[in-house]
Formats: sequence, C-alpha cells, structure tokens
Amino acid sequence: MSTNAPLSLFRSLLRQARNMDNYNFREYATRRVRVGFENNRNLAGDHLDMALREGREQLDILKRQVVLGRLYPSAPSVMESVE
Amino acid sequence: MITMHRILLTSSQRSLRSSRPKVAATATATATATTTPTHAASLSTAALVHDDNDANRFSIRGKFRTGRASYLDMSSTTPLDPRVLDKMMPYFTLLGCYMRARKSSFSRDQTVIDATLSCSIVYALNILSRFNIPFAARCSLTHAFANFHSSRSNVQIGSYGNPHSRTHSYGWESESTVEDARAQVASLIKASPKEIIFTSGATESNNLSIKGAAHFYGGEGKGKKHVITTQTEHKCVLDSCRSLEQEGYEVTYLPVQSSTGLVDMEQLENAMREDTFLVSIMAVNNEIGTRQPIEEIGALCRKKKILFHTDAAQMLGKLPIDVNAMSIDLMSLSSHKIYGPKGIGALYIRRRPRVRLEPLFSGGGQERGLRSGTLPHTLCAGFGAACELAEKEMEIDDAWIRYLSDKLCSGIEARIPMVTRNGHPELRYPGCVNYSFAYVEGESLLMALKNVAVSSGSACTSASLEPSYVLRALGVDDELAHGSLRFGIGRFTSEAEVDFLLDLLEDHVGRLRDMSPLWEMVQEGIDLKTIQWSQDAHH
Repeated sequence: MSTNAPLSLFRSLLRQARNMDNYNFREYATRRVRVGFENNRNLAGDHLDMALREGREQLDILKRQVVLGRLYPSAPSVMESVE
Repeated sequence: MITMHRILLTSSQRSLRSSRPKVAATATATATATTTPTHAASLSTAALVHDDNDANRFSIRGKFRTGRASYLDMSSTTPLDPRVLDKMMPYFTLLGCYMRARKSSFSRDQTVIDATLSCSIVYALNILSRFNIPFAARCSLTHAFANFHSSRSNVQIGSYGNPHSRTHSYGWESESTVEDARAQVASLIKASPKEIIFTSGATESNNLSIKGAAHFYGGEGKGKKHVITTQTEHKCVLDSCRSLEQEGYEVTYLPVQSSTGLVDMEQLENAMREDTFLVSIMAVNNEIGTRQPIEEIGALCRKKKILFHTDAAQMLGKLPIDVNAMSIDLMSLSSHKIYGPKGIGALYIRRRPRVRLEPLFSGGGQERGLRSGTLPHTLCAGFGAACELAEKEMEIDDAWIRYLSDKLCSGIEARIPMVTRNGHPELRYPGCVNYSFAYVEGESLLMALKNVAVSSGSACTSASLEPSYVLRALGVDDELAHGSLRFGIGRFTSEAEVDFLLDLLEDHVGRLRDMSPLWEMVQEGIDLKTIQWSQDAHH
C-alpha cells in the first residue's frame, strides 16, 4: 500500500483546521481545505507536486496560527453557544 | 378619498381591549421562552395578567444567546486573515529577530544565528509546553517554525529597521519588504509598482488625490477650477470637496438614479466644463454595494482630458480591477477592507500620462515626494500579503459570497413582507446588502439583533439620528431610511450565521410590526397617506 500523499495532507489540514480557536476561522479553514482539494482533484505530475508543496506550506501556516490562537484566544462566538 | 378620524392607541391600551385571546398566548410564551423565575411569579397574579401578556409577547428579555455577536458588517471593516498575520509576524516578534540569514552573504554570522535560532526555538517550546501540547505535536511545531525560517530566507536579522535608512542592512531589508509589498499591491490592480504610494488609509489617499490635484492643476494662472463628484461618495471625499469650495473651487455634486444609485452618464457629460480637472466617483458604494460603470466613466474622462479619481476601497480584491482598461488616473485603496491590517492604504497614481499632485504635508520627500514619513514596513507587508491572497482567492471568495448573498436576499424577501433592497439589482458587489424594512424602527431592530453585528442605514453617523445621506440621495424617504439595515458578508462568514440572521430578522421584524398600530392599519388595507388625523382637523 503506497502512502497517499494528498490524502494524508488533506487529513492533516482538516485536523489542524478543527483546532482553530476562532469560530469563523475554523469554519473557513475547514471549508477552504475541502474546496481546495475539490478544485484540484484532477491534477497530475508537476502541477500535483506544486499543489502538494503549497498545501504543506499552508499546513505549516495553519499550525502556527492554531498556536497563536491558543496563546491569544478570542471570546466564544454566539454561534457556538447552545440555546 | 376616505377621510377617517382615528385615534392612535398605545400598545398597552390596545391590549386591554382584546385581552381574552391573550391567555393562550401567555401559556405558549411560558412554555417556549427562556423566562426567568421572576416572570413566572408575575404571571401567576391574575390582576396583572393583561399587562404582562403583551409584555411577554413583545418582550426580548432573556431571549439572547451568550457569546460574541456574529459579525456581519464586513463593509465597515474585516478581520485580519490568519495567513496575512503569519506574513506579518516576523516583523513583530522576538523570533523574527533571529531569522536565518541569506546564504550568499553574512555567512560569518551563520553560526551565531543558528545558535540563537535553536535557543529561540527552545524558548518558544518552553512557553508552549505550558499549554499541554503533546510531544508529537510539539515536534511538528518545531518543524513548522524551522520551515518558516528557511522559507523566509529574505527576512533578515532584526527586521525593525527604517525602510528609508540607506546606509545599513537593517534599512535595506526593511526597504526590500516595502518594495515586495508594493509589487503585490500593484499586481492586484494590474499597475506598475512605481505607480503605487503607501498612505495611512483610503481617507488619506482620497484627501491627497482631491486636494493634491486641485492645488497642482488649479494653482495660480492654471485656471482649472471645477470638480465633479456624486452625492453618494464617502464622507472624506465630500468633505475634501467642501474644503475646496471654501478655497474658491467649484464642485458639482451629481445626483444618482433613484433606488439603484448609478450615475447617469449623460448628466456627467453635461456637467463637464472647460475648467473641469477632476471627476471623483467611487467604484463600489460602501452602503448599498452598487458598482458604478467605471470603464465608461474612465473612457469619457480620457476623451475630455479630465483626471479620473475613484475610491476603490470596497472593490479591491473583490471584483477585478484593471487600471488601464478602466482608464483610471488616481485610485484610493484600503488595507483593512481586504482582510489586511488597519492603518495602511495606498494611492495609485498614473505615470503615463503623468499625473501631478501637490503633497498634503511636508517632510523628507519619501514616496516620490508625495507622502513624507517613515513607512510602517510591517503594515505594508500585511497589506501586500492581503493583496496577494485576494488575487489567489478571488474566485473562491466570489462564489461563496455570491451564494450566501443570494441565500440572504431570497430568504429575506420570501420570509418578510414589505421589504425593499436598496441598490442596483445586478451591478453590485454581492457582499454588501442593504434592506429597508417598512413600518419598523431601525434602532429598535438593531437593539433586538444584539446577537448579530450589523450596521444601520445611518452608518457613518451612527451616533446621530440623521438618516443616511446615501439613502436620501437614492430617494428613500426618511422613515424608511431609519428602518434600513446593511449586512456585510465576507470570506469568513459561515452559512450558519446567515441562517441565524434570517431567523432573527423574521422573529424581530414580525414582533416589532405586531406592536405597531400603523402596521395593523396597513394589514387592513388602509392607505396611510389618505388618513385625516383628528389632530389635523382642528387646523
């Protein structure tokens, strides 16, 4: 079984996106990752490599921002409170 | 014409007349509302039943959720995108001061830098360990920080230098940061980086272009004294024109087409005179979202050899801009409207044919002599990053915002009767939605929408009771303008927030209308304009 690089990147990105502190950023990150992978579904060769590299950069950015979000947390949004 | 004598009753008086059906309503109210114990206690005393029936039916106490309001005011400002913050962080943080140097030069500092780099990473990890981040995550974090350092190889040691210092590397590095940002901004509007100067925001850019052009082209013996603008411009443009009028210039404030807000091209052409030197029309209006026909206006101004200035703060990064296709001579840009930092903006000034301006204030002659002062390279980097991001994300953002905007508009029109959308139906930016709710008072609706952050029709003057001048220019009468709300949808708006807003609007507009005797009369089919009020009969 070969390691499926796009799939593992997708899962890592979603995992990090779930950890974002701010409601709006969390929702956006989850949606954006899905949309990004959906749009790039049929890439191959050089385009695929470039997209994967960009994806890994975005993963690093996401990790850093998750940490920052925890260091400086925002107040919970009204959308997160159960009525 | 029917003349009717009617006495307006207050809502409590009306409730006394028809108190019988209210008992059922109270029962449902107690069952569904999150009432406090005091409410239940007061309901049990029979003598107060009919007063509290309406108090409970119309009460909004205890009906709010806890938490920070859902932000739906993207036209006024936008949150800083985390990816933009990431690009700005090296200029703010201690870690940034210990970045790995460029390999081609400063190699003798390499070992020192690497040592300090590892020290700083250990320092950071010590802080992070207090947050209970598991070991595996910490490893990947170190990796993330290390990768950040290697990818940012052009960010040098201690990036806090003054970009205008010419004599040392601190200055050179900051300058290169500013120049990179300039190129990023220019690429978004298809201009050359030499045509962009950084300012403190769109307000300063508007002032600089209008007053600067006026003082240059209208100076002694040059004879150009006329400026054309519209009635729906931003306050800073209108105020700059007003100050020019006090200096002796003449300004024509063009009216806009009612209910759409578009400029009439014929009126614009007729207003142009021999001594007109500037036309200033904003690209996308911040209150109603109407997009002006910039290409046509630009072509007309080019033909008549008049400068064309546009305030594109709301259009940048959201709709495509091409300064050459649109024949724009001067354009104001703002960073905090495209998920960038507040406090920075830019002014595009065409070089071919050359546009000359007089600077607003004197100083060291930075930014081609037009805008003196030290540039905040941190904010410039943020603005540039925001522009680059906007270029990449424009399609995805546009699709999402259009989807949410259509959902919001069709939802409001389907669920709430007697609403009017202000602005042009097609030629608009979909993220800015402005609705007038008839027979509803705007301030009370805003108070009820406590869980959502929206702005009322009188946006810029939210402290005063004056209705918005933009809506008045559209021909909306004052009471309808008071009952207007502006919703701003952006990149970070979620679908759940739009659904939440629709539910709240339906509830509270319905509740406020139920309380209103005018609404009752309208429901009965009475035309309010044909009523003869009994107080008028005395005159």
